[in-house]
Amino acid sequence: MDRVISAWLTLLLGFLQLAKLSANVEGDALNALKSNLADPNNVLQSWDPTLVNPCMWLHVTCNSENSVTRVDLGNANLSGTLVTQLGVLSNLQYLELYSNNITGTIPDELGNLNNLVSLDLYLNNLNGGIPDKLGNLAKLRFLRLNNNTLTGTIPVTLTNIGSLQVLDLSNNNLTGDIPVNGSFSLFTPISFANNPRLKALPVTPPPPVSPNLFGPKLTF
Amino acid sequence: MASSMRILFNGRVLGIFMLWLLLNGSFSFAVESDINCLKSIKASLEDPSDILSFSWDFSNATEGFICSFLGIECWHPFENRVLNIKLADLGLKGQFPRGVANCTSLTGLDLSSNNLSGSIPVDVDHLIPYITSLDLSSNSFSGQIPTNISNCTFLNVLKLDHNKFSGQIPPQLGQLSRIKTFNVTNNRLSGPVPNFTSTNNTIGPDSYANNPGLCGFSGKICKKGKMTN
Repeated sequence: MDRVISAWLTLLLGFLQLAKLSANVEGDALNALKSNLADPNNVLQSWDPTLVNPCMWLHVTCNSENSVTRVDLGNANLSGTLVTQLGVLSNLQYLELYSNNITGTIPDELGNLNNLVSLDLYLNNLNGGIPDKLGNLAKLRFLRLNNNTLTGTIPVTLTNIGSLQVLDLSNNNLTGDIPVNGSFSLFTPISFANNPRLKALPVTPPPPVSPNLFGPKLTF
Repeated sequence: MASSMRILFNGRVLGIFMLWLLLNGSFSFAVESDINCLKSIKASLEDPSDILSFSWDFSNATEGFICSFLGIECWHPFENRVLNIKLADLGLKGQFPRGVANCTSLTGLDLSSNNLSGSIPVDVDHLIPYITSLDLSSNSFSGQIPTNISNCTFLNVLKLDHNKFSGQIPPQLGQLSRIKTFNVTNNRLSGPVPNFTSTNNTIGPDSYANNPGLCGFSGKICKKGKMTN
């Protein structure tokens, strides 16, 4: 009986330690992001790495198991770069980093975020290519990378994401062909507009107005 | 000399000031086409239950305010650019709202299960060139299905079932390379059905049922030179 009790106790304590550890892993990952970002508006002021988990941090949302599900830092005047550690946030569903001044590349490791539903990196200064590994995001519904300076081709792996509903790659510097198979059957020239070196999709007839996104509209 | 130069200088300053005013004025009064699109739709449809009147409030125009309107899905949360319009089952009356043309980034239009009538505009391809999903089912639309729908090359889903469409289904619809779902059941269509060349579509006899005059499927052979209604 003693042995059974001590076995269960060990198991319980071990589990608690593990739980604490995994929560720290997520906090560490977000803290790495904070270290890589310049934050003139102090939106990350509450990000205290000494806390047991990041769930009390502003702009961070956790689930009932204290695992991060949302990071909401849109329009926060942030600059700097993204970090590979973001890939450990295994329960992350919403990564909202849009409308900042973030530079550098999109980490391949974002392709590890199996539960990601929304990846919004639009309106930044990201360069480099769209990682092929993003094709692994099997639950992705929103992929908005528009208005950056992304180069390279559109990964064909993205056509495998059956859940993809909204794709915006407009206003970048992508090259090559636009896939039309798989999930990309749903996407029109709107999703790819203003990529001067991208091979345009045929449209019959020519559209009435070519949308000039985020540009001034002059009327007389 | 000095005074004339002063006049010239003032003129230029005035000119620059007016240009600045014009540019600023244009920015603040800029025609946001998607807002006009929704205003036009609201104006052209009868809304007996006042559902649109309630939700579509244009009085406090902030960036992305239309994105929280009933039935409106935007491309981005804080930008007035409409992705999808979904107004099913709202008791709406009237004709196909031509104002959708001003929603220049529209990909989805669902007006199903309302009391809409009249015909689909023959220039529908100019109104919604990027449409991927068009659902007009369960209304009282009539007339012919316009040939120009075949120019809506990005159509994946076309549902026109449960209406009063008549005449022949334009054979050109068969060229829609992305079409997956096509449903014209329960209309008054006649003549041969199109030959759809797209792959992975689910178009079959179930797409055409309850159109007594339709032929060319399920063993219904089209009789030469005979158009039945």
